[in-house]
Amino acid sequence: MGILSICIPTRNRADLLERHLRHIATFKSHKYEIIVSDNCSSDHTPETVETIRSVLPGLRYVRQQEPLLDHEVHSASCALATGDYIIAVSDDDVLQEAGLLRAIEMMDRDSGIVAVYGARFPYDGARGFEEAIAAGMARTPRTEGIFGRQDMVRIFKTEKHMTLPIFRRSVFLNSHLPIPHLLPFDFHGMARFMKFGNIAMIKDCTALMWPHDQQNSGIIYRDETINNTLSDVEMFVVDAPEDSTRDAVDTLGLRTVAHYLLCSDQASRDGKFLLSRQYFLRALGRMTDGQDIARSFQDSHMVSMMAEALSQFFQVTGATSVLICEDRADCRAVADKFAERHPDVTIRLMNGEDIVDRPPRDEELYFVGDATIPRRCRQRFGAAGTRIRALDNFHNACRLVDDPT
Amino acid sequence: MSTLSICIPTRNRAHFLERHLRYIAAFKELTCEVVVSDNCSEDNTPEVVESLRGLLPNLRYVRQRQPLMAYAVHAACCALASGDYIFAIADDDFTQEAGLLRAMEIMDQQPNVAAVYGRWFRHHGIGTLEETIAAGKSGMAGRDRLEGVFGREDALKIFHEAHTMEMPVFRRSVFLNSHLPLPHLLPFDFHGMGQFMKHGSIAIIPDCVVVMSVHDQQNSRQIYADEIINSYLADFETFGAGVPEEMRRRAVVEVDVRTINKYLLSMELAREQGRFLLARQYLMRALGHGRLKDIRQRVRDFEQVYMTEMIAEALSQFYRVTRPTDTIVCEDTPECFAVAELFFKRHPETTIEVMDAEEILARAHSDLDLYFVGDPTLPDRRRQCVGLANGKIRTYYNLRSACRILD
Repeated sequence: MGILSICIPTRNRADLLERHLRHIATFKSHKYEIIVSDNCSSDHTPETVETIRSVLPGLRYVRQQEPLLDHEVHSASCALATGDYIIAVSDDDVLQEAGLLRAIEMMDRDSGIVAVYGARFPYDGARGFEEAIAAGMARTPRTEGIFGRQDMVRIFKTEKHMTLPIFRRSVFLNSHLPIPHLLPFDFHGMARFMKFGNIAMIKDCTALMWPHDQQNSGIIYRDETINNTLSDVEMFVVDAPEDSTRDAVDTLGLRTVAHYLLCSDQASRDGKFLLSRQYFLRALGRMTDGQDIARSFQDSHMVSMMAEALSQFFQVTGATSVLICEDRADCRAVADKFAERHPDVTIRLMNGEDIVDRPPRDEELYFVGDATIPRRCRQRFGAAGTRIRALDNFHNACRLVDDPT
Repeated sequence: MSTLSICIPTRNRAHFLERHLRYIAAFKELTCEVVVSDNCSEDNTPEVVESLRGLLPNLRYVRQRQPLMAYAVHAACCALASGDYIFAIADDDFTQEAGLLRAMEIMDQQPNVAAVYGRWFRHHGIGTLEETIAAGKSGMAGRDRLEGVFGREDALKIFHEAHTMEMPVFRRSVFLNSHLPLPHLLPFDFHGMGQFMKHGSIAIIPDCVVVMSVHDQQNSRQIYADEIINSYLADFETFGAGVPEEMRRRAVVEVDVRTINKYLLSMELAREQGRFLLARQYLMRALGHGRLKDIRQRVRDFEQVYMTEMIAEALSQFYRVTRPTDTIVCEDTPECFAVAELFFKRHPETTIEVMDAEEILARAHSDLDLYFVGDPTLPDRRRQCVGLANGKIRTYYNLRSACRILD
């Protein structure tokens, strides 16, 4: 049986690393090389690794001389591997030996396979590993198979991710580079493997993901996460076989749109409605239709978007501490959501005529339903009368689609 | 007579702000208020603003209660404007009175024009601003440049032809109904233009509205940085989302074309800065959109010129993550030697020993050696000779193959 190098990058998570290493130490097969690449941890990682040597004699520990960037940590841990096969896995996951052995066996038997992708299931810590695996398999069963380049675009269309491969070191050396703005080993990584042979997908679980407090799961709508994701799928297309390029490019468009919609969804769940709107618009910008879904987005989130716009206006107006809201239902609905964001702000309801007559004060901001009020205030009080917005202003600014004409 | 709000966001650059405000104070004809939005400066910005009140009676100063994100600063200072028209401009630039007067005149005469876009020129501190403007204008002469009044039906034409659409002078009444502070987005570029066009026309004029000063304190980011690329893409895409229904199909194509061009520009910059693997990546990203002609030829040209550089950079990355290393052992072949020379420029602190294959096979193992060899069979042969698996060895073929873009 070929030797597997298990490569684990880590940084300041000694306890999680220890948990993972102790688990690996229980593996029955002895064909493993374990490499820990320590990205300049300032905690007790070096000591933890030392104490584990007794249970994991083959452990190799490399301490990086300067902090590496995100994209370099995986390749750094793989760089020193000497096994026939490699898996790069995170310190907080839990590798599953049965799945690894199955992958190794397959590659031992079939030299045309350069990488094997197993299943990865969530683990909540409450039950045994076997139970979690059984539950995962029941929930998301996967079809097994061996795939060549002719299947690349089909995989690109159907799979969400292609992560955590177990791959041949000999191919890895000829196919992979540490690439900035890119998470390693997703679609681009798969495409690189496929230049040198087939890939296999197996139903067996190779790792459980164990959620914990220290998780710095990159929020999907952050700049670097977006750029990584786009990079991965764009670079994938370059490696698609020439006769399926058109199909790959179209799929890239669909995936990009789908990803933006996912970001939009996540942002609205995080209460960031204007960001959600922005990602929705970005999706629309790459679609030829979509006015209908845009209209329904607008209908469900308009009040929340306006409240956020009002909140932003409030935040940049200096010393204001009171919101004077015209006393009508549509304004009150926005003001209620505004109040959730700013519990410290006093909100006063007032009718339109009183608002027009009221001399401006530095601490007061107005939000009105009658669109003519701001103009009347401005005529009356000049520049001082500009800390006022009409519901229509925000409504128009927040729209995604034009009114049907 | 209509009024203009000149809106200036600032942070910790009191001397630039003072320079700009004094410049504006010397305007002869323009009826304007100046709104300064101070993004929590820690320097003497508040005092400088106070001292200028005598010169600029219509100055309004707002100090932000908490530091704003980059995208919010422009929106913040425009939020407090009270003029009929607004112009948002940086603290270190020089607003040009003549250009602004012209823009206001156009909007006074044509109520349907929602925004006017003038020109701007860069001033490198040599000669007077007037000379910079004159030189800029003559530099533009002969170039095809858009000029005139454009409606929504022209949005895609402008998107296709214009480099950027920044620094508009715009109607406050339209702004209130069309603009939001958007994260991941540079304010007032194509998306901003598209929003103005939903409420009227825009005018593009030859007059100069700004002279931009070029100086040390400029925190210009690289266009390939995550946040900059994402801002540009967001701008293109949100612009695309705003074009009228019947132009959508073309809009999607134009968004794609601009995306590709941005990637190619990123590639150029990365290449100029010696980041060849990043340049390769942006080239691949551009290729991924499938619209470029002669893809294979482009890739061949790129690989032909930069392959050795890319390999040297890949070797350098390998070296960086496998330290400590005392000696780079390089096989004595012309390809390896060429790579080693470029590698040495990146790491002059290293010792490189050039040897032939036999010497490499005979060398005793040390964790402090890193091998770079030409003969693809050498790693296995050495493994047999020494009887030890060693991860710190790469062949020229490994790195070349990994750097290749197409088969």
